[in-house]
Parts: sequence; C-alpha cells; structure tokens
Amino acid sequence: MTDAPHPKPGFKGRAELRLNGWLSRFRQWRGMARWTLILGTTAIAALLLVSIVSAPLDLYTQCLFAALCFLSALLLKRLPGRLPVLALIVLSLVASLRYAYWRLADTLGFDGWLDSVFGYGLMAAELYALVVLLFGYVQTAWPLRRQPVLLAGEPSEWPTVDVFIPTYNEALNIVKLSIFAAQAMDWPKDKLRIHVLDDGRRDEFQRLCHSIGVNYITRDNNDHAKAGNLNEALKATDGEYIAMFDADHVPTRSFLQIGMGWFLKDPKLAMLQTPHFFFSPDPFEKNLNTFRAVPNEGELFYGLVQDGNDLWNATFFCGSCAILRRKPLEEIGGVAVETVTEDAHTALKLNRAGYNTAYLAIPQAAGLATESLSRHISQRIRWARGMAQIFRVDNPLLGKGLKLGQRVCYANAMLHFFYGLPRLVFLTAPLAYLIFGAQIFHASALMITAYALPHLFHSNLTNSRIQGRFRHSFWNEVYETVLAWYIMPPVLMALVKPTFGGFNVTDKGGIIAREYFDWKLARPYIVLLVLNLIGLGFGIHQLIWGAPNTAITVLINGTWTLYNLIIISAAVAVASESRQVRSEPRVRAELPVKVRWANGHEVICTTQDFSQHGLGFKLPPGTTAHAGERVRVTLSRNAAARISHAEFDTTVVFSKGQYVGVRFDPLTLRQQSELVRMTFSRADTWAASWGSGKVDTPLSALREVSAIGLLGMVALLKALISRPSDTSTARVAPSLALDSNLDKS
Amino acid sequence: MHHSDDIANLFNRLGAHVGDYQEIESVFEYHEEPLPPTPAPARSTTTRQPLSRLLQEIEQQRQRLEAASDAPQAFAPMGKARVVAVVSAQGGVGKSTLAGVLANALKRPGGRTLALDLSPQNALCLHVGGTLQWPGIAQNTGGTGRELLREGYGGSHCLAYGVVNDVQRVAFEQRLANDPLWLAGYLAALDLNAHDTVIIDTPPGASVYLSQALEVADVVVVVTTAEAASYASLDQMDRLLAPYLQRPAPAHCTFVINQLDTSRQFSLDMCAVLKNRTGMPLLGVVRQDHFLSESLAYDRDPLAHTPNTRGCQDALDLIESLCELLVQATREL
Repeated sequence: MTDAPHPKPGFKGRAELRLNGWLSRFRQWRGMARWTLILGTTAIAALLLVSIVSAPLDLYTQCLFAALCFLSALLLKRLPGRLPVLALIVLSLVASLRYAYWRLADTLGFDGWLDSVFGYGLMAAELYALVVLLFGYVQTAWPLRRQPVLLAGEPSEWPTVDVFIPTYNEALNIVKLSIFAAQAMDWPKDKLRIHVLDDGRRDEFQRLCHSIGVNYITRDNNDHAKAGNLNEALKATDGEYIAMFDADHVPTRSFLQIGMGWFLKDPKLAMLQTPHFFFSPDPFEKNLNTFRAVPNEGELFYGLVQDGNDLWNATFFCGSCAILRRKPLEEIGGVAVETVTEDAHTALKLNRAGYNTAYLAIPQAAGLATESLSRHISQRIRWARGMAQIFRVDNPLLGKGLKLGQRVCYANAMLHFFYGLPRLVFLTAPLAYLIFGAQIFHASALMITAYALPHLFHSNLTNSRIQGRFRHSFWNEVYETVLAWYIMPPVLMALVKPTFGGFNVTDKGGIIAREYFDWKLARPYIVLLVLNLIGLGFGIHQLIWGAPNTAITVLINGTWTLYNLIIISAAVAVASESRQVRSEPRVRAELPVKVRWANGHEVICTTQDFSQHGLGFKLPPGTTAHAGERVRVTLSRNAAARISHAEFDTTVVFSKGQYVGVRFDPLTLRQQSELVRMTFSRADTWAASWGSGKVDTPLSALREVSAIGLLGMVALLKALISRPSDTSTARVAPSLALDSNLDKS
Repeated sequence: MHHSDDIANLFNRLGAHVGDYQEIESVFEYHEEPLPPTPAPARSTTTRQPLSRLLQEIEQQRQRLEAASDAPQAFAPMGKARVVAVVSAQGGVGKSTLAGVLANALKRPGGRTLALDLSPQNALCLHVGGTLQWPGIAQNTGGTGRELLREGYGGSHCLAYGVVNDVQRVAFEQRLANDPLWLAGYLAALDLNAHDTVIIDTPPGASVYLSQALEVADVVVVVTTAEAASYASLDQMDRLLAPYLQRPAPAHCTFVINQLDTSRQFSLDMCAVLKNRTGMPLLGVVRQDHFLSESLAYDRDPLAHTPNTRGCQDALDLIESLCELLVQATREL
C-alpha cells in the first residue's frame, strides 16, 4: 500500500534501510548477547526518559525546551519513511509525559469542594486521554501493510468455503445484491456453498433462494440475534472455511482468492478481516457534504488502526467481510454470545486460544453506510456497550493467552469507547472558571501554556503525520462530540452491570423527504452550545471589567471555550439532515459501457454511477439522448477482448447535456445476476477510491471545521425561525428498505 | 494468462503481480418467473385475409382430416421416420446450431431423434455434445449407418459427417450425384419407425447434399436471418425447392428467422417484411442469445444449462410448432 505523502509504494527512507541492515546482523548474534543488549538499551532509555520527564524547569527553560522540540518535530514531519514517525512519537511522549508529571506534581492543590470536584474530574479526563494517546501510538506506530498471498495449485485442490449471509429484516432487493455477488465470486462452483441465514423467516427470501440455487437456513427462534443465527448455521454446514457478509455488504469477485492465501500459508491463522467500505455517504459526509473529500469515520479504523493491530497479531473481527477457519471457531464454541459486540469478543477468544488473526487493507466488499444520524448513533451505542461489556466480562489486560502487544491493542479498542464522559468534561471544563470562578488548575497561566501547549501541539502533529491520510485533524473531536452524550449512559451502565439489557434508540428511519433539523437529537449539542456561549460572555465581561491580573487566565479559558464552540457547532451541523433523494443510493463509479440506439448508432462511453435499477453515463460530445428513447447498454469486464459482457434494454429517463440516466427494463434473475457481475462484483471499483482523499494539514483542517461550524450555526438559526412548521411533516413513513430494528454491526 | 480489466487494475494498484489469479465463471441454474411483457415493437399492418375466410379454411382442413381418418388407419409403426431437413441459402445463419438444438430437445412420443450431418463442415456432432473424432457417413467404412450412431444430449442420436480429406469428400459427393436416392436407402437401413425423427443438417446453397435431403424430407426448415440479404436468398430458396414441391405429397416448407436482434428497428422491420412475404409460412423466430452460441464453447447443452434465456425459450417454442407440423404431416400420409 502506498504511503500517501510519498510517491513510491512502500518507500523506505535511507535511515530505515540502514536500520534493517543492522537488525539483520543483530539477529545473528547469540541469544545471551542479544538479551543483554536489549535489556541494557531499555534500561538506559528508561532512565533517560524518566530524567527528561521529571526534570523541573523554570518557565523560560521550559519554553525554550518546548520550542526546540516542536521545531524538530516540524522538521521530522517532512521526512518520508517509518523511522521519523517513531522519532515524532518519542518527542510527543516526552512532551506529554512532562506535562503529566508536572500536572500531577504541581497543580493539584485544591481548596473547597467545588474546586476539588472540577479539578479531579478534569485530571481524570486528562489521564484517560493520555492513556488512550499512549496506547494509540503503540497501536498505530508501525502498520503491518500485509500484502495478499495468491493461491497456488489447481482450483480442484482449493478448500471448501461456506458463505454466510445473515439477515433479519433487510429488504429483499438489498440482500439480493449480496447473494448474486457471492455467486459471482471466483471460486470453483463445487467448493462454494452460499447460505442465506434468515432470522426473519420470510417467504420471499425462501422463494428467491430456491429460484437461484442458494441454501436457505432458518431457525425457530431468534436467541442471541446475529451470533445465535451464525452458530446455528455453523451446525448445519461443514465447509472448511466460512466467509461472512452482512446482508448489505456486497463482495467482489476476487474476495476469496485474495483472502484465502494467508490461511494456507499460516496454519494457525483463524480469521482474516478486510475493510468495510461504504459506497454511500454516512450521515456526517451527507449532512456536511464532505463525501470523499474528508476521510470518513471508518477510514481511520480500517485504514490504519486495524493495520496497526495486525503488527501485534491483534486484528479483531468486525462481523462482516471476513474469512474464518471453521476448526478454531468451533473450538472456542462458535461466535461469542455473551456481549453485543460478538465479533470483537470472538476474535479475543481466538487470540486467547493461541490462534492468529490477520488484516488485509484492501477493500473487497462494499455496503450501505448508516442512513441517518440517529441510526448511526444507535449503531455506535451498541458497539460502545459491547466493548464495555467485554472490558468487564473478559478484560484483555487480565486473563491468560494474550501477548503484551495484544493486550494493549484490545484494551485501547475498548477504552476508545469510553470517551463519552471525558469528552463532555473537556467541553465544559473552562466554564468552571468562567462561570463559577472555580480554581481547578493550580498554576500560573503562563506555566500552563508552557506545559500544556507542547503536549497538545505535539500530539496533534504526530497524529496528523500518522493518521493524515485516514483522519483529518480536529475531526476526531467532532465525531466524539456528536456521540459523547449518547454513549455515556450505556457505557457507564455496561461497566457497572454488564448483563443489563438494551438502551437502544430504535429509530425507524425512512426516506428523508425534505431536509430538516433533528431537534430531538441535537438537544445535547444545543445545551452545550448555550453553556459555552454563556461562558464566553462571562469571559468577555470579566476581561473588560474584571481584575487585570486574571486577564491571562480568562484569555486561556476563553480560547479554550472558543475552540469548543467551533467543535460543538460542527456537531450541530451534522444534526441538520439533508434531503436523501433516492431510497437506494447510486454507486459512483466509472465503468466502460457501450450504448446503442434503435437506429444502430453506437457509442462507447463511461458510466457516472450505477444501481440495481439504472445507470448514469456521460455521452461523448456530439451525441444526445432524449427522455423516453430506448437504448441498449452493454457492460463488459474486458473491453478489449469483448468477452464476458452483458446487455440490457433500457429507457432514457434523464438527459441533461452530456449526462444521461437510463432505467433498466424489468430484469430476469439471470440478467440481475449479470448486472451484479459487471458492476458490484468488479474487483477494482472500491480499491480505486480507497485512501485517495486529501492528506491532512492541521491548519486547513481547522479552517474546514470552522467553516462547517459556521454553517451549523446558520442551519440552527434557520431551523429556529421556521420551527413550528418543520418538525411535524419532515419524515415520510418508514420504508421497508432502510428499516433495522437490530442494529447492523 | 489474460485477465479481465478489473483484475488487472486491482493488481496494478496493489503493486503486486497478478500471477495465477484464476477467473472462474460459474453458471448457476435459475428458475425464472414470467416477466411482464416488454413493450412490443410496432407492427406494420398489412392486408390481412378476412377472418371469415381463414375460419373457412380451418373448417375445410378439419373436414379433410376427418375424412382421412375414417379410412382404415394404416397404423404403421414400421413405416418411414419423419425427416426434417434444415437448409439455408446463405451461410452463417446458425443452421447447425439450430439443428443441434432441435435434435437435443425434439422428441416425439414413443420415438427417438436422430441428427444426421450432411455438411462437410461436420459441426452438428459438436452441437449435440460429441467430438470431431466421431466416425461419419462420408468416411465410407462400409456397413450400415448403425455402427456409426453415437449418443448426444437429451438422449438423441447422431450420425456425423466425419472428418475426411478432399479425395474422400469428392468421392462421396460423386456417389451422391450418381444415386439420388442414396440417403433414402441409407435411412431405410437404420431400422427407424414412424415415431422417430431425423434432423438433417445441410451446407448452405445448392449442393448434392441438399438434393439428397430434399428427396426424403417431410418438413423443410429454411433458416435465415433478418438482414437485407435474406430477402433475396429466400427467393433463391424457393427456386431450389420448386422441383420437389411439384410431386405428390410434397414436403412442408417453412422458414425460421434466426438470431433476431430486437434492439435494432431495422431488424424488426425486416422481420415483418419476411413474415408478410407470400410463399413459405414462418415457423418461428429465435432471438439473438449469446448463451446459445457460447454453449458450444463450453461443451454444454444450452437447453439443459440455461433454458430460461430468451433464445432457448424461442427455440423451445419453435420445437413445439415443429412437432405440430410433424403430427400434421403424419396424418396426411
């Protein structure tokens, strides 16, 4: 995989090449000598770190030191390769640990209960952030960047694979895509068994499965939701490997051949995960209009975090787009049913049992993103609750079977979801001083600047360098702010009592007919917004009329409040739901297509988008099409050789300039299968748009977020003005297609 | 190995060698539900016979049949088999493919189906699931055709032309030229009965093979396409058939429009013109279907593998019409 600021794939800096040379020579030393060297170096490094971190410096020296570190960091950021990343991490750790040490040592003397509560609260939130930062560095410092291994040998020797497509209440025309795409996978027909696991026990699914020759499995109960469904299917099948796809995840034809190689290479491999790629925008991208411009929320996880986990053999299962080996899965008792994130828990159990897990950062399946913010939130709540349950029930830091790296990675995956309370604390901390005058930070304002700013700048810079392709700066704060209020109660509850049942915000969304402002959902953000505005007001008041020696403190708190305001208003912008024009989104892709009119005239052009029901394409200059005309379109997978093509009769429904949209005539099952083979099944469509967004620069990201924040405020004001007519008629009756009682994983 | 664009693109992006990626196209059998009819193309109205006239003709036909059936039934299970000659004036119309499909799927009750290849191209045996190694009638190995019979798809039997060199072919054609009833005698020696059907594939245009086939045919199926050239070629076919239609009890001549491309208005118009042509009646129309032609490449019987494609459905309809015609032919004898 390419490292985006650097043009060549896998480019190694000179220093890294030299280090590789030393390492290979070093490995040839005898065991004893190696261990002495390792222990010795670690001891020296630890002493060095401790002394740097705890050295008390006065204000001037601290500022100088911080400035020097920051300058070196800015220089290091420009160097290509992996070693500068490690150097940046060390600098960031130094800055953050210095800050933490000074914080704990010097700033915690509080008077009065108000000060203590706020003070220790902020301290705890900062400690949480520090731990997550540290574990995050461990997790993402060195992504493994695994390459696929192709299968050797004849197809007749390849193993048998059961494809599971569990479904509960997804609409038939969405699951149909996954089933056809599963049939279209490049795998010998006699070794590929496809099973639709229908927990909804619907007749139309049974009829469809019967018509196209895939297996239809049901059970007479719905215990343990998806995990139970999968376990029952495990008992009814016997393939050596199991590929799992959610009902709305459509695999490409190359999924199995790309993923299976590693299983044959590593006999202890139990699970291989691939990214969940979305061909439709999630609520953030949709409402903020950033689709494919700003990396979406999932790209950090699937682009970087899982890749980093892979180094430590701690990749965890995400419920879909993965291949598992049957024997290890049955050995641990099937898919885990004790928590609601059964997928991560299953991977944890596999790792504990001594098996390996792997990750391939190549999108080989794509699906629909969550359609509305409320759906998105309920999905994240479920993940958070599940992770908190695992933390309580099967803590990765305790118990046997895991290596240290695995413990850190799993722990971070779970700790990540506890950001609810800390995020809320950060969003309201400056108000403690501005509104209540509580002294929660015992230090002079300048000392705070000298210690806290390097910590913040370094962590921002380092994270920007590590994550730049997958997450833009400050977006982290936006995502967390949107979810913090909703995640907090379920997580706290799950930590206290893991077996307590649901808190699900089950929203029966539908087609969003008009744009509207989701007041109910936005309430917490509005409250925070108002509080911060009040705080800002107090601050300005105090600046003008207050004691002059408090000016700097007020200024610092005021700036912090301003920053919070930007983030919160961006969160408000997300709550302004934009209109969703189609019930079934179109996939943007450029595929070669041949268009032929009834008079015999033929052109070859490129599609702009496709869906199950139609295509959009751009005609070359000189040709036009009129609405109502009948044209025949031919899609092919090999434009040169003209083999393997599919033809469809269509009617033009949209024509504007060069852009034409056509709708297919009613398709037979065979034609629908051909369509899927030519479009969704193509091996290169998702990989082409993976990781191709703009690389992060912190300043432009800040500008971007501020702009979105402004838009959010405008939307809020507009909604305020037009409130009475808005809320009652905004939503259309729920359509079957987008309904999901049980959240998808 | 040559790979499709999408596989090549993917591996380029990965910076990896595409190597031995295997592209496997599995075909699954689908049971289709009937679709709502697609909008039919506008048909040009022609001068049709008045309905009363058509009904009169049907009644006359019925009376003739009833009169014939009153006569003692010459129930002749040991009689002559029904012969269908598949002919064409042009090449490349899909004659061998269609003959193969007819042989695979046509089965009259109580009888067998034999596919007989009189075309030096020797393609018919491939369409019924055989190989070029099958022995053929042109190889002149002596004996009757019974030793040369091979089994094909759907329980049909096949007598291939056989792979021969030029000398053998010329010698065979000389024999046929010298003996116009050679084929009749050959078929008689095969011990066929009145329930059996023989499908004969011939080379395009006038040839000694065509004459032999027309001598014994009960039904002649002229295969043509909906092209401009077809119009003239049907006229030529009429001229070739004329002498055989002068005889008592002549064969039924019909034509089939093959490989119709419904997306082109020209093809549809041409199809209408051919239908309205006086002379031979139209037996059926088979739409263009790449599954039908590709099945030969994959060594499979299209009617077993992909029976629900439009071409196969049209072929099945055609076979039904042909069966009815054969029944009629039987009754008239």
